[in-house]
Amino acid sequence: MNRDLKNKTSNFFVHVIVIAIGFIMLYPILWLIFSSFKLNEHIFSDVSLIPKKITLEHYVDGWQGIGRIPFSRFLKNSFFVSIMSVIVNVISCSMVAYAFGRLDFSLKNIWFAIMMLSIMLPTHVTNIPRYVMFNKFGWIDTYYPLIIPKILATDGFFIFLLVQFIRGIPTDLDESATIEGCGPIQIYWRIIMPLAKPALVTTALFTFLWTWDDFFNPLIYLNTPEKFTVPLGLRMFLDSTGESNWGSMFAMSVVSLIPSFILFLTMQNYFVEGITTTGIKG
Amino acid sequence: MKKRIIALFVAVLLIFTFTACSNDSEAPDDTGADKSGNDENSKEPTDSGEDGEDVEISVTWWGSDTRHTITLDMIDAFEEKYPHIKVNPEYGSPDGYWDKLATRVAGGTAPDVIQFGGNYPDYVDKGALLPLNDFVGKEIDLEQFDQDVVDAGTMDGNLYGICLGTNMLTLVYNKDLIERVGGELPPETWTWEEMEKWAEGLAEKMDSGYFPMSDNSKSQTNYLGYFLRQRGNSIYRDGEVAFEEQDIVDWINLWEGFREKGLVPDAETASAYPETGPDTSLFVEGKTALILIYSNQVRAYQDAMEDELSLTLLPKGEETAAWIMPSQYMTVYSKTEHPNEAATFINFMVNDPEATSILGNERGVSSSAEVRELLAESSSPVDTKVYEYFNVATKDVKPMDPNLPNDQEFNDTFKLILEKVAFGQIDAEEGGKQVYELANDLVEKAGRD
Repeated sequence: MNRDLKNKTSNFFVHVIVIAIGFIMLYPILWLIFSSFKLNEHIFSDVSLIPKKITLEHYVDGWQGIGRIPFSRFLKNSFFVSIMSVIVNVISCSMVAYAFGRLDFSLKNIWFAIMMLSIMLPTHVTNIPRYVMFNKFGWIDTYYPLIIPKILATDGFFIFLLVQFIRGIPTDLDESATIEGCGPIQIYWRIIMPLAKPALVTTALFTFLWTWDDFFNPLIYLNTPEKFTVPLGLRMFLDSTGESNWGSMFAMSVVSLIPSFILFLTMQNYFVEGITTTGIKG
Repeated sequence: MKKRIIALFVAVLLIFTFTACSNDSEAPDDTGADKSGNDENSKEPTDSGEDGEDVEISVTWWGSDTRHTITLDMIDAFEEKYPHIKVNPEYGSPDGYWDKLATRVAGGTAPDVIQFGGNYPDYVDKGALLPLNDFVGKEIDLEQFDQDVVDAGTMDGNLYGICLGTNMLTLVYNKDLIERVGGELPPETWTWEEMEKWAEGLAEKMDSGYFPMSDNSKSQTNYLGYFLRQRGNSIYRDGEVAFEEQDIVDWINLWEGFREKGLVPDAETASAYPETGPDTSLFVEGKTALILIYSNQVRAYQDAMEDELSLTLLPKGEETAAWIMPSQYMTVYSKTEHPNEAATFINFMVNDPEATSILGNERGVSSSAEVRELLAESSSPVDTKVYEYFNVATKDVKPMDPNLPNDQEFNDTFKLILEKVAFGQIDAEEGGKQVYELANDLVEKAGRD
């Protein structure tokens, strides 16, 4: 009884601390959400979290978008780019990872090292050559530079993640599949892909989130506002040299958080599994 | 195995040489294009715009939602009047605008018409802008423009930028806040001493955490420029740094004096609120009563606050120092295929009655006397205050001095140096020395490029 009480009190304190830390971490997002309901003149002049007067006008204004482009347009564009990236990335990265994890080919280790180096290469180094190249292809102001490179499995990080996972799948399964008459492609499709589901989900999730949040690449490659993705659209509410519509920006930021949020919640179980199983083996 | 590795390296090497070769063969093409861009200087404007031939031009600008909406409306009006010209608007926020423009100029894909701020000379140096001299009197009509403003868009005898509006520095005070604490409102004009005395009087009545003035010693270098011009100097004039170390030391001492007396926020608060816009302003939070901003920002500040704002002149000194500042320019890209249409578009934007009434003074007060009169008839209370301020302030002005080359770097580093002084890491003399050296370095750096 006494012990129970002790446990309970210590549990209680742990919870208090965890909730306090959680609150500190969540504060910026809470501030964002609450500010989106504040009047424009209160956003920066009123320090308290709770709005003095609640208004939905930012959501209405923000949804109407900016410079004649409704905000739903940016969402549509972002969904298109993100979903295409997910599909392409999952297929290409898993194929490359399968090759590295299971198949035997010449200079495998060197190729693997080069692939690992590409993770460590800062993206800024490749920006200018990439821009020049895509410019010569005539791909500026299209979505090609954002999607096509992913067909070639350029995200080394995901390849690495998948390789680690595939290495953890027992080779006995492959052997029995070979005995049953499967070739490498069938093993990839029937054995590895279903078993690597958690890692594939992690890849898909991260690709989605990173593409969804990406500001720099769309900024560089897209010129026409009709083609802008959400991060560019959000930035358009702000004008650091003049009038910024912070309220609408906050409101639409909240809206654009929703897809990531839902995705994360529904995929959470797979996601954690994917991370832990690859992490331990790594 | 070793042999294989060697073979691989040879293969890779070969690939690199091949790609290098193919680059070489393309290189003359590129430089050829470059040259034709620069040759436009001497060339008569090409006759690509014959009647009836449909052309497309792209126009880029940065701004807020308001600006996007009115500019798009203006473009509609333009397309109606010139049906053979289709305009592709490319707009965005100022964050990222310059990164993107620099990339596009480097890639040779910049839009035909580009909006610039005071930094257009950097792009003239890169050969990215087309001189507009040949269009003046034909496509572009500058009859109604103030000569000062035309000059501001001119560099080395070539006109590059057509001014879209003008700004002035202004002191803005929070009328309601001052009245609440029972202080005196600032007079219409004052000297530096009178301003300090006014602030001291107000400081006595204010609670702790409130200050009479925002720290504008470093929020932008134009206030310093104003101070220097009152002494007959300037930040940059005639291609060289036009101030002395002692000038900066005096500027620093002036503000550190304010800080000691509690007239401006302490160093920590001041660095947390850099006063670069309404979102980083202690003034907007209602904690300070006086701030220096541009006249075109007044409206944004008023919109962000409940208290009523009013405008007053900057402190007077020995010499006239105020200047009218072109806010933005429209320029034409040097590699444009349709220079005539681009020039026509710019002219429509600054002169056409329909266009100017759509655009209003969102990009600053118009440089054309005719347009100003037209706009004054219908304006909001805040705008009226700005117009009134303009009418008084423009009576006592001198032509503006050009920006220091690499102006952005000067602003940023200047801010860091003054912050060091405010935090007591270096003294005013050392700060003055560093700023002086910084300015000279930047001028020298620009000369080298």
